Amino acid sequence: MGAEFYHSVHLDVELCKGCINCIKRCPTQAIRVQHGKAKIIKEYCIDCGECIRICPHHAKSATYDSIDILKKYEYTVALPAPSLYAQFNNLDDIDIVLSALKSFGFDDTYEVSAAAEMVSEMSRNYIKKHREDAPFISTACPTVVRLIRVRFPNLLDHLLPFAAPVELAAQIAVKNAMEKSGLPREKIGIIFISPCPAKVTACKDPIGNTYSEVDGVIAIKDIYPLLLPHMKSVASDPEKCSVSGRIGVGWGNSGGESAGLLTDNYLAADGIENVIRVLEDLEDQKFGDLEFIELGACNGGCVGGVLCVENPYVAQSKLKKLCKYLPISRNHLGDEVPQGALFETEIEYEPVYKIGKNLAESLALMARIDELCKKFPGLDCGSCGAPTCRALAEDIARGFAREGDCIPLLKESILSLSETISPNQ
Amino acid sequence: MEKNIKLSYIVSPNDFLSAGAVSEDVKAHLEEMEIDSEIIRKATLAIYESELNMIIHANGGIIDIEITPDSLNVEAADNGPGIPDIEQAMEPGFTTLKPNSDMKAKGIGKGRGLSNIRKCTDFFDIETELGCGTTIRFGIDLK
Repeated sequence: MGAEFYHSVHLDVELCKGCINCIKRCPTQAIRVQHGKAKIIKEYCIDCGECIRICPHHAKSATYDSIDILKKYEYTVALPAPSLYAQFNNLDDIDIVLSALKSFGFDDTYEVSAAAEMVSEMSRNYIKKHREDAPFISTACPTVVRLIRVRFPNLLDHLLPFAAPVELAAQIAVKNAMEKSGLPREKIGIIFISPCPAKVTACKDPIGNTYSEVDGVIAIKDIYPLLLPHMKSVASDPEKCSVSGRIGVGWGNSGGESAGLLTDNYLAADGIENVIRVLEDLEDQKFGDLEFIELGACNGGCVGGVLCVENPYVAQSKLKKLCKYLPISRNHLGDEVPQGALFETEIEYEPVYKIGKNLAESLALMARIDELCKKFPGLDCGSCGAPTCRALAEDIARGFAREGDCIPLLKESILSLSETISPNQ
Repeated sequence: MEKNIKLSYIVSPNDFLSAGAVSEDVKAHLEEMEIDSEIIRKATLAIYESELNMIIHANGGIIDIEITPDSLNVEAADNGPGIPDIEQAMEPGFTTLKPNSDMKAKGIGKGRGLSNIRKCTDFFDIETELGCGTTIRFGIDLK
């Protein structure tokens, strides 16, 4: 499981100028600049999208499907993320977006927010039943799940055992589509409209599930301009098809998932740096008796995803306004928990940061790293292509870099060399 | 090529903002090694508690750490007043802070410090001299 470490953030080598903006921004130190070009270390990348945001040359981008994927299938279903609704000005009716998706070319829609309401109900039941194992950490943000998998093994047991709502939505959409169209599964395309690259990865290389029912993922920013004219034409009389309430749509904002749990005993953090700080403190058991911890890698929650168009905080406010007159929840679980909503396999720890094969070896390497760190100037200037002096020392210990890569050290040795050769200058 | 890692830290008194700096650094070291995460958790907690003790009660001090292939050894020597009754100080829940101390608001003074350290470690020793300070030594098996 996950052995390949697929990631959907990708580098355009032509555009990369080898500046060091991305290596400094990456929260997991997954990028190095070598031979003038950035390189993503795939085991460390958690698909948070920070490097896409920061790259001044637009050399980093997310891999996702183009709109043309619709042509591949006879019958297509759009799964709009709630964050899609937050992109439009003065939107007061979700039906307009859904009708526009149909008018644009999709045969049907199924809202991810509808499935989210069921996941909320499942979470409420689960937390009630397993209170002694609290706090529970949300698994809705795939970046957070990936981060915990590589850096916080102690916290794996605290993850809710549910896949993100889009998986449940896809399964329901498949069932509906097969019934409505009478077509076999392979002729049906389930297309997720995503706010972020991490969700692309989650569909191509799911953690906790062996496969995903999502056939394609397109970006909100790609479909946004195409939807606008259709929205205008359907605005006067949209088809009544929205089935989600305030809880489901609220998932797009940070704190929305927690609100669906109907408890005050929660913490909601957004922004990858803040998330890491919360996880570190959680690992050190610095929190009391919280029931639920909602973590979203992007500022503001999913509305802050790197594939969104609108400013995250403006989008938050729009989503809140849109929720105001919705009923609280319009989707309820039947008698049993839908199978597809649960993780099939346990999420296992991937020790990608470990150095050395055994304790003695790692100790020796660590001693070498400490020694190198003392030698380096401690500027964390990034000129060597590693984000910090310590990261360079680690790369050297692992055999990926040389001491001579440290530019200030090199400068110093050139200076002393020239002084030796011509002492009077 | 076998080598031990030695780390040394100076802990300043009453500097709450840097509480956790030592334990975080040691944790970062341990996390990159082949060490069970439960052992890392115990080590981090024990070091954090001794750091806090120094900051709150003991006028700062020095923490020396040695990591060998078998164990993590810590020596924390503070500049505090010394402990008059060690047995009492080791009891869970014992605290010298007055009930209305403003430290209480910070979640400090629940009397978990020393007993917590002992609970997390495989070896524990405390030496104290009134007026001179207290040195605690503890070890955690890494295997």
